[in-house]
Amino acid sequence: MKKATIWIVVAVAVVTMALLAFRPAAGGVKTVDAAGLIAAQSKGAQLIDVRSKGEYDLGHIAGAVNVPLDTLQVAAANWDRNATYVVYCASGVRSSQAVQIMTSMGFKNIDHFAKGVNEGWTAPLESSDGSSGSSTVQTSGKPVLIEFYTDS
Amino acid sequence: MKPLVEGLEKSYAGKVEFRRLNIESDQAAVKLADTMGVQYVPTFVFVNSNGVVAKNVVGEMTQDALSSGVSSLK
Repeated sequence: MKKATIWIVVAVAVVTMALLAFRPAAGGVKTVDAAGLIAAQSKGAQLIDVRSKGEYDLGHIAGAVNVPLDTLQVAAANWDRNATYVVYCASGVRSSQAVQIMTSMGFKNIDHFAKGVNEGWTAPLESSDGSSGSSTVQTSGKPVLIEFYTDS
Repeated sequence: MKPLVEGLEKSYAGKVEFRRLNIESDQAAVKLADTMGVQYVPTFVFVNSNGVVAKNVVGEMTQDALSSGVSSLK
């Protein structure tokens, strides 16, 4: 009888550990496109722009807060783990790292705008001087190469 | 760098806008450089069509590097 009890305890422990090991990653990380980002934002998700301040100032998605990747761990320490966050950067590299960081910190609902603003966002961006509908670098709809130079 | 950039400008005419800004003689250029945090010359700023800066390069660039940077813009 004693032996059977021990086996039952061991079995329960093994099953519990297996369930913990194979549970879905931290409640949900999903990749979203621009439409998914807008939908999430309309439901109250917070947009997190993990690019540098300079990049953010030049143009960001309206409503996003700037939390550069290297400051994320500290900044997010007191954030609500159950709230939904949409994370993005320029091309998806830094935001992927941000998702890993936030997942490891226990955040349960993370939407990853993996294409980033360079490829995945075509609507006008907002610049940090408060102007909406244009970025600091005004374009005529074409890519631009700017060369700053001096004659000397 | 002027001949290199001008050569590229011809190659990408109508597809990419080229802005050569002299920060010694052009006050608007100085203001933009300040805004963008440009501290050294030459600095090349590659900007996608939506106004987002894709890349900043400080210092001289080869023709291949310039061409590669321009062709990767969206």
